[in-house]
Amino acid sequence: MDRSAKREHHGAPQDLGRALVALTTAAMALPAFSVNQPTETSVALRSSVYQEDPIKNGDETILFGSADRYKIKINQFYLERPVGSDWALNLNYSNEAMSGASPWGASVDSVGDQQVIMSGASIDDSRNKLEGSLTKYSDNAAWSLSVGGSREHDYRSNYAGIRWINEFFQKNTTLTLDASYARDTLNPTDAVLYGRVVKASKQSRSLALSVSQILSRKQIVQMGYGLTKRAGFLSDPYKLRDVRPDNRIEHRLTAGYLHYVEAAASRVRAEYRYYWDSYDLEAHTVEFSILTPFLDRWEIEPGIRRYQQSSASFFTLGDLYDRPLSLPQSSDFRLSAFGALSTKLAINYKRDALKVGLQYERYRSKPSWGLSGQDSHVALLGYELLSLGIQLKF
Amino acid sequence: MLVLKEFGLIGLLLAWSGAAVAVEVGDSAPQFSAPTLGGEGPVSIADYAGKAVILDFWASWCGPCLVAMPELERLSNALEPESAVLLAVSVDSDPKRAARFMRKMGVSYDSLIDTDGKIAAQYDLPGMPTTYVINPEGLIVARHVGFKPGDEAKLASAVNDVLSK
Amino acid sequence: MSFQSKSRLLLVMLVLGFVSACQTVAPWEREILAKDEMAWTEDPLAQALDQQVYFSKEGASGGLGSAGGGCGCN
Repeated sequence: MDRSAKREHHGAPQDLGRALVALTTAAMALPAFSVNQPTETSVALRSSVYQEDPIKNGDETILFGSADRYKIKINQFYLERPVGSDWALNLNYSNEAMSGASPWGASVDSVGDQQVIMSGASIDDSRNKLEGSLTKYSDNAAWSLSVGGSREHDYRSNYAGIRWINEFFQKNTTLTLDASYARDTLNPTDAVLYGRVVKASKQSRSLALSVSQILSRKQIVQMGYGLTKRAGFLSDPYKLRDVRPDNRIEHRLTAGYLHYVEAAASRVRAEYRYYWDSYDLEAHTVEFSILTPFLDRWEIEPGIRRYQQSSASFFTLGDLYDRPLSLPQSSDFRLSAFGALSTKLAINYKRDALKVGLQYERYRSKPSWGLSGQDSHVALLGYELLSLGIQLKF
Repeated sequence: MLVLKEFGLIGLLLAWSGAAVAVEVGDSAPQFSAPTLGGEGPVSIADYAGKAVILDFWASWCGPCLVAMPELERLSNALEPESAVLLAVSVDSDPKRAARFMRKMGVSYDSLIDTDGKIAAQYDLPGMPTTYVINPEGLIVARHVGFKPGDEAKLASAVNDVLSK
Repeated sequence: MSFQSKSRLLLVMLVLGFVSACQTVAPWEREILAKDEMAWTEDPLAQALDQQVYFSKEGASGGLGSAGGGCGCN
């Protein structure tokens, strides 16, 4: 999109800090991962940046607004510390800073092609998240309690969760149960000015069960099921026309497999997730990676991820202004049918208690890769991500 | 004769079913011999008959085993060599790795190495680490599974009990 | 075969494989399972990052939830 068009429409409403994560915050604490108390303190730091691809496909695609999309920087901190002989404490902090434009609305032109209306480039918005977990360990079992919260200028989320882990059959089988609750409150900016909801809230309740089974000295498999119920204001207040049902029930079936190949001192990892919800959205995700050593203290891990989803039942390619507001409707690309392919590469350096890792990922999505044949969104995403992490144990 | 036959049959059944009977307190400590990480060997548990033995099974990949090392070092140094000895057995598949960890933890005692896990299987270790306290008559008087900070006191008191008899 | 029935078949195969392929691994045989790379959550921050980024771009959410494997010590 050329700069003159952008200048012409500079008077369009600025999207002051679109709450990118307003619809995406989920209770994602990091509770205990093992039945055994850690023997050392772990500290980890990670710094990541990703840039979404600008919208392509010619001048008619963007009605007005900026073509440049989000640039996001994320900084994370993690601490795990054993306490006494039976307890451990976890602390997790992250900061996410974003700038750029996002799709505000969409319409369909006379030949059926989609056009998007982009917000102007927004000022930086940031989100801070803090969580803590306390875990109690006993023979063959562990209990974990986590609490956390995230804050942005227009969004706040508070959540709590419990986890129970139990081992059976000479510690070859591990059962993990999770229950969590989150309450989010939204105060959209310029609500009165643009006729947005002034204040809204939503609640999420989740339950998950998974079983991990050792198959042999070098193989382990995992299967799980999770259920989430969301209720309250689930629409996107920053979109021109977005009305979603005030209830959403989500299911996910997951499977994972780890295999160590002794001859190559390498590890193969495979994961699959089947997701379906009450918006009629269905998705399949497959991930595969191989970790292999090279030189003395280095490792390399190429990976691939394939994602496919169908569209939500109320997804509309263009905003329909004659559809009553009592009926669900949304042109949000995340509810459209599309598929995505990610290629990743990680390089790690390990020495004693230190591990440094650099990751690169290229993510591309296409409507034709989706689960249904429906025409799909032009604002579909691609991005490049670079991430640097350090882990220390002492 | 019949009793022996019965035992034999039970033994056969157990062997066939793959179930090993975990060596417990009150049992006789199974005999074995193994090379040492220091290159000497083979060392046999029978070499210490008449002495109390603290038999510790460990591995470099076992976090709590490494936490236990400085404590075992202290215990070992406090023992009178004529009456008690610490016998460490590593189940690492790579002896060099086991030796590296011993150097890193700065322990002065040597360790036996059981790369194919035969001795571990004989004792049917219930977990890692497992430490047995064996009296001078060769009977197991205490068994400690796992290691948490503070466990060295339990081991020390078990050894004292044996030595005071 | 539709994608849906393919994935259902895959799921059934996984469950059967799960059930039939188990050998009990003794505590002293867990050397490989104790390796960092054989943990379900080797890098908690990388995993949290992935989940957050994908969740903000896609309709589906949630990932693997299990603890398990590892050293089995203590």
